[in-house]
Amino acid sequence: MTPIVSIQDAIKDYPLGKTTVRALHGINLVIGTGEFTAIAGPSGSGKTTLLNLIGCVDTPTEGLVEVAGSNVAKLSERDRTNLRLEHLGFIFQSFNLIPVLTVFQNVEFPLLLQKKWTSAERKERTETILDRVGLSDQIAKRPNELSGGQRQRVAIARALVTRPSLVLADEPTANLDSKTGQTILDLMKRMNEEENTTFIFSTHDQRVMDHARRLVSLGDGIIENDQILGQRAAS
Amino acid sequence: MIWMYLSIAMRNLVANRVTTLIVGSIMAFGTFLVVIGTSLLDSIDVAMAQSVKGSVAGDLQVYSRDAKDKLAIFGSGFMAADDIGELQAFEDIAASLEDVEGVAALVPMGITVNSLASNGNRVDRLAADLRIAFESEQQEDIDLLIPYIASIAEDLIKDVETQKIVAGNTEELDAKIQVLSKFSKTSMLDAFAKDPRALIQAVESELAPLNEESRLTYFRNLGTNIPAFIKHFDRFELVKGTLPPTDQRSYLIAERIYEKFLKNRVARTLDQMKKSRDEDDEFIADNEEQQDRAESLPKQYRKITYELGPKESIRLNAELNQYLGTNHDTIVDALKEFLTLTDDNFEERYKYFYANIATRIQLYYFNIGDEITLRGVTKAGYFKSLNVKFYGTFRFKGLDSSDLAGAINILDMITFRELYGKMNARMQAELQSIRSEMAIDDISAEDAEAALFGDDTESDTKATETVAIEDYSALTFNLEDRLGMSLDPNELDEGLALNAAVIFKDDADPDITRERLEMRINDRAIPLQVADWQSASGLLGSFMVVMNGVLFVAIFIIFLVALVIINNAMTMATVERVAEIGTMRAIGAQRGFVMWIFMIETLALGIIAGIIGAAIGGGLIEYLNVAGLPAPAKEIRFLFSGPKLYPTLGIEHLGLGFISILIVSLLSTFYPARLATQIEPVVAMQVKE
Repeated sequence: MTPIVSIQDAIKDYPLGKTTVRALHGINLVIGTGEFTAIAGPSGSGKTTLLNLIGCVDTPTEGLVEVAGSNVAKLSERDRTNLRLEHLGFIFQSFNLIPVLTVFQNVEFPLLLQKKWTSAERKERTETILDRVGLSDQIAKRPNELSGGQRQRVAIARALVTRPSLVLADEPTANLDSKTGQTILDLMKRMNEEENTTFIFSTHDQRVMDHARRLVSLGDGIIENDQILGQRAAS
Repeated sequence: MIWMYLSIAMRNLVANRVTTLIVGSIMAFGTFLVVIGTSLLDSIDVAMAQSVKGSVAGDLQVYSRDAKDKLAIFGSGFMAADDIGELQAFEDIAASLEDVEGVAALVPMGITVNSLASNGNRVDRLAADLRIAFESEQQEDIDLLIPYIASIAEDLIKDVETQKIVAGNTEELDAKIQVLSKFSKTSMLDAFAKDPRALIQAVESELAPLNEESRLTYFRNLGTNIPAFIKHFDRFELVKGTLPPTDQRSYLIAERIYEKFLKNRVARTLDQMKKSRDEDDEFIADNEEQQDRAESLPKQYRKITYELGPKESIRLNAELNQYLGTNHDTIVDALKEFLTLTDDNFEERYKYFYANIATRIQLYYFNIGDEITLRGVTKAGYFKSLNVKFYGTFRFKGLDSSDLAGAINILDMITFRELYGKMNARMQAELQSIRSEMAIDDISAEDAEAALFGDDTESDTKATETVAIEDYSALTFNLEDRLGMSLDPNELDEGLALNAAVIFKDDADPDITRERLEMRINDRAIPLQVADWQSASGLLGSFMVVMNGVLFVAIFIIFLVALVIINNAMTMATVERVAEIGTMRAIGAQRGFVMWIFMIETLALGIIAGIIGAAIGGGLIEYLNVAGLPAPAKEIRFLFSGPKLYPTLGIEHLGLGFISILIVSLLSTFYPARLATQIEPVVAMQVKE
C-alpha cells in the first residue's frame, strides 16, 4: 500500500497577537492509498490544522508534509494549486457550493479548471458522477433549491469528479441531521470501496468515527491514538 | 472555459441586481454622454467649419509672417485693430500660390474699422426744405418749418440738460446749450425776418452738427474683391438690393447690422417685440425684456416726429386721433399713446405702424442705392473719408444670427486700400507724374480724377461736405466720377491686401493641399504664414477649443465617478464572495482565474451597458438628425449654424463611447480583482453557514 500522505515531525505555529500559538506539536502520520480514515478530536485539538496541511492549503512551520509524492512546503503557490486540482478533492462542512452555478455546473467546475477535457467528456463524467450520488434529476437546480443532504451530495460529486487520489472531508456531516449524515457517510464509504479513493475526514461525532476504518485521535496538537478499526471487505 | 467565466459573470450580475443596475446605469450614462457629446461637438464643429469657411475664412488664410497679432477675422475680442502686417503685392502672392495643386483661387482681403455717415441729417434736410420754401416763397411752409426746427432745438436742449446731470465736464455742454438756445421759435422768427439766408446758414452750420443722430458707431468692414468673394464663398447670400457692378465703389451691409443698428429705433423695437412674441412666446405680461421694450417705446416718439416734418406731423396726428378715438392736440401726445402697447393691441398697432407710419418716415438711416461716407483712420494716422454706394444687404447663411460673426460689412478692395492709405504702384506713379505736371499746367479732365483719387485731404473734405439739394442734379454723375465712384476692376487684385483666403478645389484633399501650399511658401521663401479657419476666426475658434475642453472635463468627471463607484461595488463584491473564491482556490483555481472572474464580470456589464448607452445616445442623435436640436438659448444659435442643429452620428462616436466605458470598467475592476486573488484557499475551510 503506497502512502498518499506522509507527515514527519510536522509543527504548525499560528501568530496570535504578539505571541504564537502552536497548533501542532510534531505530528507523524502516514496514510496509504485507499484508506478511510477519520481524524477525531475536540475543538482546538488541531484536527482542522492537520487537515489544512494534508489538503495543501497550508504549509507546516517545521517538519515535512508529502502529498502524492510532493513536498508541499517546497512547491510554489501555483504548483500547490495544481496539486490540489489534480490529486485532491474537498468536501466542506458548509458544502461551499458556488451559489450562482447549477448543480451540473458546480460539479463540472473542477473539470473545467483542469482544462484537459472536451465538453463531451466533461458532460459524460459529470452526469455519471451525479448519477452515482443520486442527483440525476436535480442537475439544473441551484444549490439554494436543494436540501442540506442533497447539497453535500453535490459537494461529494464535485470532489470525486476528477477522480482524485485523496478526498478530504472537514466535518462532512456536522451540518446535517443524523439520518442524512448517515447516508452521506454511506455514500463516501461506497465511493471509497468502488473507486479505491482515499478518504480522510475530520469529525468529533462518535457515530461518524464508528464508520471509519482507521481512527486518528488528536489532542492538544499531538496524536493521542491511532487505531485500525476494521478492514475493507473487498481489499 | 469562456462560457464558464461568462456564466459565472452573468449569474453574479443577476444575483446582485441592485448593484448591477446602479453600476450599469452609470456605465450606460457615461457611454451615452460620450456618444452624445462627441457627436454634437463634431457636428457643431463641422457646421461651424462650413459656415466660417464658406463665409469669410476660406479653406485657409494666409497673412504676413511679420504680423504682430494673430489673424482674427471675426475680431480678437478687443476693440483695438489687430496688426496683422501687410501683403504688399497681392498679385505676386496669388501668382505664386494659385498654381499649387488643389488650390482654386486666392481672394484678397483686408479688415478696416470705419464709421458710417449719411449725407446730412434730419436738421440738414429741414434746412434744405426751409431754403426751398423761402426761395419759392411758400409762407405757409415757412410758418410750419420754423416752429418745427425750434421744437427740435428745444428737445436737444433737454437732452443736453440730461447729459449735464451725469457728465463731469459741463463747460462744453453749457456752450452747446448756448448755441441751441439761439434757435428758439421767437429768435428764429426774428432772425428770419432780418436775414433769411443767414438763418438757413446757421441752421445748417450750427444746429445740424449738434443733432447727433447721424453719428453712427464704428463697423468692421471687409475689403475684398467682391465678385471673386461672391463666387468663392457659398454662404454669402444677398438679402436686399442688387449685387454691385464690378467697376463701382461698392458697399454691402450685413442684414443684421442693417436691421439692428441702421433701422429706425421705433421700428426696430417693434420688430424685436414681434419676433419675441412669434418665436419665443414672450409677452409683455410676463416677460421682463418685453416690458422694458414696451416701456421704452413711448419715449422714442421723436424718432418718428423728427422724420415726419411739420406737414406730415399734422396729418398723422389727425389720423392717429381718429384711429385711437382721441383728441390730442399734438402728434407727440398722439404718438405716445399709440406707442403705449399691451399684449392685446400689439398686433393691430404693429400692422398700423407699418401701413401708415413707416411709409412716411425714412425707415433706415441709409436706403439701398444711397451714397454712404466711410470714415476711417489710415495706416499713417490720417482721417480719411470716401463715398461708396450702398448696393444691398447680405447675410452669411448659418452665421447671420450671431453678433460676433454677423457683424462685418463688405467693401470693394480698392476703396479699402485707399481708406487704409495705400495706393497701388500705378496710382502712385500717376500721382507722381500729376504732381510734376501740376506745377506747370492746369489740370486736365482725366488727370483731375487721378489727382483727387490719390489726395487724402482733398477727398476727405469733399466727401463729408454736405451739399444742399438744389440744381446740381445734372452735375451729380460727373461729380461722382470725379470723386472716383468708378473703379478699374482689373486693379481689384493689384496691390495691397492684409490677408488672403485660399480656396481649395472641391475635390482637393485639404490636408495634402495645405502641405503643398506650405511647401511652396517655404520653397519660394514667401514671407507668409498659414492659418486654418479655427485659428483665423480668433475668438470663435477658441470657443470650440473651450467647448471641447468642457466636454472633456464633463466626461472625465463622469468616468471618475464611474471608476470610484465600480471600484467600490466590486470591492464589496469581493468581500461578499470571499468564501466562494476561497472554495474555488481550494478546489484548484489559479489566481489568474479569480482575476478573470472579476474582470469578465465588469467587462460583460460594460459591454451590455455600453451597448445600451450607445444605442440610446446613437438613437437620440439619429432622431435629432431628423427632428433637429433647437438652440437652448438665442446666443447658441450661431454655434448651431441656425435655430436648430442637425447632428450626424459617426461610427467613431459610438466606438469611442463604447471603448472608453470598457477601459473604465477594466481599470476600476483591477484593484478589487487583485484583492480577490489574495484570498487564501484556507478560508474555504473556515466557512460556516
